Amino acid sequence: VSRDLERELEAIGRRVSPRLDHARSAVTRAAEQVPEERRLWPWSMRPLRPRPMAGAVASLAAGAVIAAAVMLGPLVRPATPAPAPPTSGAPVAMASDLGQPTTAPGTGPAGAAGSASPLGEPSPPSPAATPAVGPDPGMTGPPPASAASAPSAAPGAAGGGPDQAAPIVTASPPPTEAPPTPAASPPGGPTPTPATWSQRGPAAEAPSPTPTPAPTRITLTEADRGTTIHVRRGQQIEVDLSAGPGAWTEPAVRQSSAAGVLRLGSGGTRSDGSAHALFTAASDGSATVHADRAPAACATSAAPCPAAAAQPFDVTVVVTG
Amino acid sequence: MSISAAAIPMRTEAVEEVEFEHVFAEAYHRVVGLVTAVTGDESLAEDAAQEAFARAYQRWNRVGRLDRPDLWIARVASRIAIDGWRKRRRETALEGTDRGHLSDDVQRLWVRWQLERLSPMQRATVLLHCWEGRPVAEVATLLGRSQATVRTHLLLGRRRFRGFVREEAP
Repeated sequence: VSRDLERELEAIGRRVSPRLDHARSAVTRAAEQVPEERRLWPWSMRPLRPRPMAGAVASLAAGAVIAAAVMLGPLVRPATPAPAPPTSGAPVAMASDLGQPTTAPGTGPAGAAGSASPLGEPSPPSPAATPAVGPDPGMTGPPPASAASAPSAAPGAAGGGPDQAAPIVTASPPPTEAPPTPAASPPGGPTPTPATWSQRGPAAEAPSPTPTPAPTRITLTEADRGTTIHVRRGQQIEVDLSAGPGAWTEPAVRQSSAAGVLRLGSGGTRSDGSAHALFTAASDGSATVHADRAPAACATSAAPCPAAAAQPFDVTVVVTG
Repeated sequence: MSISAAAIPMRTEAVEEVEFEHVFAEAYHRVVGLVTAVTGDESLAEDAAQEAFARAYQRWNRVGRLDRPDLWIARVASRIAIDGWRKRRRETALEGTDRGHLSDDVQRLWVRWQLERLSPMQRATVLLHCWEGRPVAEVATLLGRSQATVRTHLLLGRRRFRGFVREEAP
């Protein structure tokens, strides 16, 4: 059957197109009329053409990337600060392991407490309600010499008296960097903070995959009085003492373990009583930044203001490489 | 006819050229006849057959390795012709092929192989199925259709033929 069909088809074809050579020439001409790109590019090297599904594939890929970013976001971001219960002993406010100062402008002690909680240190309840967080039983110690003026540092510590320990603000280097060495506190300074303190807690156990560089400028406010901060060489310490009752003197370096630990860049007082200074951590060592606020009565009185009436501002700065 | 290029281990350009010439000389008229029988349009069949051979020539390094490159060419030519036939039908708004322009040999083929009342695609299915006794699966592959579609075409073709025979019987 197929032979008959084949024979019939061939007969029809011979009648329709009898000249085989003409047909062969036509085939050659048609074969040469190929797109230019086919002749220039071998099959394996031919550039890809946009496919009908290319847009859908690209959309799916973009969606997958966005979804992955959303899912990985909580892992990359630092832990959310958790409220910390009151503590006993020396209230220690710990800067985040990423080196964020706890006393950012506008945050005050509450900000310091919030940024310290990522460490997640358990804290026993204490009747002395102090909003400082990150307590460590081993961190308790005698109140620093400058703690007499500490109560005004934190709202939660308003009920506390001068005998309360001053909060220690520790600005640690990023987790990927070398851990800070224990800094020697100047004589009479606040309780030294163990260097391993900043390495504990979930933030230290699970360091961020994308380390955040330490801030180049740390701002200290009145709330930080009596604290000790650890900075790295090159960082700037800005002292911003806001106006209030009385007038601030210009912040200056009072005690220094070595000359040139802190270099004063600019500073001064304003007519409203506030003061401002900008220091640069120049070399290793420790130094105390000091300023005094005279009570308002002293400002209007012709008599010299008694020393006890002054409200000093002291912050110990420990500079490490 | 059985042209198997896959048995040739080393295929140079000259060898491929010779193979193509051999297949062209063997299969050209048969492909033209097949396409003519499918569409009933002789000019369309010649153009479609030459276009199919040209496409085969362009990719002969792959087509030539097939067991039956002539069947690949026949399928391509049939599809080209059917597409052209549909386009021409839309342009001329004709229903089917005007049998008045059919040559006698094509009319005889249609009657003998029961192709008169079939669509071009059904004719191609039946012809490829009967040509060399290709099974349904192979015809489906050659036509680029599913096996169910090919079976449906075959069934419709037989039914139409039976109905045509009953109408003509009295």
